Amino acid sequence: MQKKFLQICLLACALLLPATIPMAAQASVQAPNVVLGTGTDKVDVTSRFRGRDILVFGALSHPGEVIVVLRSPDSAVAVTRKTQMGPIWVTGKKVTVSQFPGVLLIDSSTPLDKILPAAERDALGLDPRGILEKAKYEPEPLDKDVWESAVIAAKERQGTYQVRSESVTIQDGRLFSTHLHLPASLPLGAYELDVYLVNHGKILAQSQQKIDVQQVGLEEWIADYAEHQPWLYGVVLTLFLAFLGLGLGIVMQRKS
Amino acid sequence: MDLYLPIAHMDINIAMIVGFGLIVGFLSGLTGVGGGFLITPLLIFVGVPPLIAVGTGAAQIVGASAVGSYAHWRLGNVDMRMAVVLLIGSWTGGLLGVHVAKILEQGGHFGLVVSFLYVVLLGFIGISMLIEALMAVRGKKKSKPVQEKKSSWVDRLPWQMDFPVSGLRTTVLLPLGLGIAVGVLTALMGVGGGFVMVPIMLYVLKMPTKVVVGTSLFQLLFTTAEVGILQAGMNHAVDPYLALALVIGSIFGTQFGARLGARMPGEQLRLVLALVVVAVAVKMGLGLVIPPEHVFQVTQVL
Repeated sequence: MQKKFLQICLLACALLLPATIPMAAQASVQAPNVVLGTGTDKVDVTSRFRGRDILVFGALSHPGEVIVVLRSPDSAVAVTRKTQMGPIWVTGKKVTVSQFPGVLLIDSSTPLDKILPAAERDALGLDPRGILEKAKYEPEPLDKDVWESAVIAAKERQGTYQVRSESVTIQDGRLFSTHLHLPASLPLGAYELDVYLVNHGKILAQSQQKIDVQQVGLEEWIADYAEHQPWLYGVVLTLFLAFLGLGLGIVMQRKS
Repeated sequence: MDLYLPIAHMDINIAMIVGFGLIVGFLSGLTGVGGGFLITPLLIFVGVPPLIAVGTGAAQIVGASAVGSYAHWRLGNVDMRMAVVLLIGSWTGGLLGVHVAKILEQGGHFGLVVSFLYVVLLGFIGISMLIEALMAVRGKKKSKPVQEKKSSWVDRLPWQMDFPVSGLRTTVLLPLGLGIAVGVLTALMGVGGGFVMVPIMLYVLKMPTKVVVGTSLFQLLFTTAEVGILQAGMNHAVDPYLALALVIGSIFGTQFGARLGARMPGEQLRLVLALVVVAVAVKMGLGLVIPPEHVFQVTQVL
């Protein structure tokens, strides 16, 4: 079904793009342009959420390479380092790392280092190492680069940081598409989806869209309630458990 | 069936959690030993963050012990005066323990401390149960410490009080101290603390067995309720889905266990439980000495 949807979307793009190009062409030189579309602009996190793929597609006015970036709002992680004390591994230093995106998914049609210079990649926030260098460390460790690597490695294991070169497919130099894979546990909020059209180390055009990742249904209500009314939540849950235990227990004993 | 836990922020197979409740409830019904000290380690083994495992472990005991407490209260097996003294202690201990848990968690040390406590406590309980069960299986009669004379140091403590239901006069300080210890254990380990309370009530306070069972159950119901509320209120550490699954599992498990236990030899059952406890202690202990897969641990801050 998704495949068919993709075909229809691409077809629509293909039909629309020629219509916009002559208009642009009339105004002196044709401005490079990239049109962006997604399979969804909303991701609902329910208790059954196991991660999902987001289809990203669009059309290009000029030939070139494509970079697709999905970035979550800033979040924070607590990093602890285990150290050996005698035979036992104990929790040593703890550093809180904040002010960097919790999710970063980068797809491109060609490896990034072949299409954009390093300074440009860093400026656009396409380099995990550069992002972690700019994050805030509390307290600031002496061997910061080791901690940076640890965060990047953990994020890659979780699938919250993914850099996939050659995952964007371009058809006829005009239409592109890719599937971004969102992992099962991810921060909530308004994610930014950026698409860049790149040629000869320069960004010709870009386009942005928001994707809302939100908790819905009962889970949202419970998480919200537990977060904002923790005492009331605790009392209600404890009473509920007590009466559930009492009720179930009495029913079971009657039956026997 | 995988569920996303709204407080623990992780995926878990909820059928497996119900299964944990069933197994632990079953063992508990078979042997009469509460299973709180097995639930928390099991949750930690499957990746629940230690603080949430401890908080949820305490909360699920509320559900698991409610019906037993109610039954003993109806039968008049609860020494209310003793229970109130114990509860004054355990609520203070619980409040203290939850604060300590919060401080340890902020420093990133809570998981380590919990593992340590479990290795020591389960190691001790498991080995003493093992020795007792082995001796019983071999046919040796337990040498019951029948002391007609009360230990004199208990008598000499100040603040003596009458406890008519238990039919004894003793100091308030001892149950108060015992309560504090149980409250701290509940907050730091997510256990009911019956394994500490019952022997002391029997052998040191010399309360009648029937009253010991009723009073300890009654007091641990209210202690775990207090700690559950505090863990939710202060530490956001009680996951509703986990707690619900555990309560449902353990209630059914306990019923089956109790029915089967009536028809099975008690000594062998206690031996099985002792082996399970020792195995959990060993697994916890190994977790402390085996080099971690990743030296750095990265957790989302909410």
